Amino acid sequence: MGSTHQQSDSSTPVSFTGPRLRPNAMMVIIGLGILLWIAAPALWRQLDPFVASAGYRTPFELSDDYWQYDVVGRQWIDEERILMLGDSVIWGEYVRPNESLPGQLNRTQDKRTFANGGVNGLHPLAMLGLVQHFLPALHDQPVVVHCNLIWMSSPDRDLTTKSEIPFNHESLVPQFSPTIPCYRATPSERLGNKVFQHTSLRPLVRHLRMLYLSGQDYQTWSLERSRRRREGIENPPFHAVSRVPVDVLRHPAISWEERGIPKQDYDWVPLEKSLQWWAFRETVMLLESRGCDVYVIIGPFNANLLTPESTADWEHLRQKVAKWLDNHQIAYDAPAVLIPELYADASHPLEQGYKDLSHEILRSPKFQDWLKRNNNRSRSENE
Amino acid sequence: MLFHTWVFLVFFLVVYSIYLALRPTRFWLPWLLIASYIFYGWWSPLYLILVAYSTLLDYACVILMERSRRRGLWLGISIANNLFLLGFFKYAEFVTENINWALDRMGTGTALVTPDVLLPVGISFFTFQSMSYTIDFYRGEIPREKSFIRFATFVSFFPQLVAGPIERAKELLPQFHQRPTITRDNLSTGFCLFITGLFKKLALANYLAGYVDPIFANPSNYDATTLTCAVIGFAWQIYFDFSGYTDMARGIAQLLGFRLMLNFNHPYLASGLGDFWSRWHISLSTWFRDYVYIPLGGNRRGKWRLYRNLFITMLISGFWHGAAWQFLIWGAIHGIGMMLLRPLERANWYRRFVPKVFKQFGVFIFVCFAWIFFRAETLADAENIIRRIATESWGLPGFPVTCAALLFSIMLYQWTVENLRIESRAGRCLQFACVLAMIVYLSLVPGESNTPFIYFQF
Repeated sequence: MGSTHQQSDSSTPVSFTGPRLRPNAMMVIIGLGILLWIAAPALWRQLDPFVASAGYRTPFELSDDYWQYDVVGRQWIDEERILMLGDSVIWGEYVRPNESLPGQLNRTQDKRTFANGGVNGLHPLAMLGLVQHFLPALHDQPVVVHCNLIWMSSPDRDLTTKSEIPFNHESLVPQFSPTIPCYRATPSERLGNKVFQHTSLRPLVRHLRMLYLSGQDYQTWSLERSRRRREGIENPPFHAVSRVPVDVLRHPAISWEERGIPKQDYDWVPLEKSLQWWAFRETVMLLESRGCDVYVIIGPFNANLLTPESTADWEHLRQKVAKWLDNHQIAYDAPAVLIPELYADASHPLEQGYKDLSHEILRSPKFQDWLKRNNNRSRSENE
Repeated sequence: MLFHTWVFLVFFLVVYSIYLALRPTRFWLPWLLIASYIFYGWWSPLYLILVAYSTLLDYACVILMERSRRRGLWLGISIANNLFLLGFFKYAEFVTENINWALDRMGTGTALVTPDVLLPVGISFFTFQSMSYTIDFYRGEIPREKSFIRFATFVSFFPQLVAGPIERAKELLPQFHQRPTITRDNLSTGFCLFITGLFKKLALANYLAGYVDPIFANPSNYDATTLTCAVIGFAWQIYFDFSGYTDMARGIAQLLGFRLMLNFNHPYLASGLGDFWSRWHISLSTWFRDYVYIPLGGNRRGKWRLYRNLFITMLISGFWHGAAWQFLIWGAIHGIGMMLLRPLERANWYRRFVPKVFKQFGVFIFVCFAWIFFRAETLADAENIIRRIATESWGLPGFPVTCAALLFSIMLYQWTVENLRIESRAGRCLQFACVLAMIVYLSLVPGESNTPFIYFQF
């Protein structure tokens, strides 16, 4: 059998050819392994020189990079900025960073500035996971949460459909309870996502992969580059994805009418059956339980695009959301529907739309009260 | 449930905690049986019927063998039953397809219905393990196992149920007779084995699979260098994949306080083909040696009988791996290789004057050549690969440098272990560094993987 090792313990002799440690050395290795999983991310965080600019929003390429979100979120909280949580409506899908809703609000008021915490495709189930696991420092702060009813506009978007569908931010959603009917990950993948949610090393590894390896693991990335070299295809130059948002439009800023989007008849999901509504409520309650003062913005949904029947259902839904917020004494605003030309699609305003929306929000007495309350609170805490 | 998935980690932590709590009582063995059945039933609860049936029948056959004068009859029933299970689930489709092909050639215009049977994972392993018990009892090498639970645990012991090592009853069954001792050495050995196996699977086998799989899927698109690299890559991939599984299985067994046999012993450092088979899938090659080669006569009845026996054994071994002509040819190549190389390997001049490294290289090239048939999707693909390697131009292989560096490190490590003492202080430091490097690599580099092990399909 060659020169295999023989274990000294006569009760269980075992030969094997791989590296073998003595029990004490094994304990040291386990200790170092734990240190790697716990201390390495903390150390990385300390050494990371990244500072988010005033008008920062998550670069689109880093939408799934929750480590980056965590890093920036901590900075916003330290700077006492008001975090605006939501999907691409807050992020500003058809506008530049400073033209988004937080950008517009910052232009028109000069007290505490708003931070663009919008993430592309961040539906409420994912937002709940983001707040739970990647915004641990968010407590005792004012927070604006966007409620986008588009996520309840069909069983597919609500993720209550029975057939399997791919969706964004799978690693943020609840993995086991409540059950998401269209989510068919294996138990192992779900557990992997749980580990991702509850440890810092996995998000850090994903962050580095997204920055330097096009989101792939190193093995896949190196295989891909070698394949391209073999086939004579030039490899893209090796450079990191920028952590700084680019000041360009992702899509042409044209209205939905110019795009030729026809009237829509949505299959709205009743709130009592909606998973996304459940997640939205959970998010708000979680923030409230952390001492955050939550302000909810319902909309700006493009009701112009709906058929009359669908408009009635949407209005009914909006009222029910407002009623729940009223019942729970959560401040909110449901801005009026903008004129059709100011929307790019069902829920995203164009630049002028955001401008009008910000004016309307700032004119709202409820919002002003909320803002004043939080400014006073901040001042008294600082004193 | 694959060893390298999170779900197995949770399963094992639960099983292990309860196992430790039950160890002072007599319930540890039933608990191991329950855990093994949960593990196997995770693939499909229907598989449990199969393993339970095989266990019950072999257990009953041995009781009847003990009580009856017609011992041979009951042994025959046991062997026939196990071979029937294997034949039905593994070979029925292959046999039917070939009969249909022959009928078609004869122009009969008739065809048999091809059975669409799903191959239960691990069937080749647990049937062989169970058979070894009945044969050993028949030969008088082991006493009858009185406890059904103990025997059932032996057949279905979850660390090695689905891909071995194929344990012998005389080695594993006695370990279930006493309360397992779990020493600090067991824990450290088990831990190291598991980490090594995990590294082999996730960092090496899966990495190589990323290179090898697309090339074997479409060999016509690649030049000679790439195909050569893919063949060599597959040789290492299958080694890391299978030995990785075995290491993890042995590591888990060690943590539970049991020892499983060594299954791989640096096979690519073999300096002869016989030597290769004494290092590769040892539990299977010794099984075939003891239950096929020796009963056929072994080397006792002259040179030609010996060659015949070697060839038949390798042919059956090839067919054991899968119901396809490629596997038969793979087995035949090894059989012919053994027949042809045996005189050479025993020649005085060869043993004395040919440097070991040349012998090792020669064996490796031969084994790689045979792997082409094992891995190719069809016989035509295998022929195409060989032809292209011989005739196509040579270019850049597009083999990732990191992967090559990892392979080189492994070869260097194996050479060091094979040729130098590593129990020295420097050797211990090297081992410490290796385990640490594996943990760091596993934590940071590979992606999540649910890729099954290659040998699960056998």
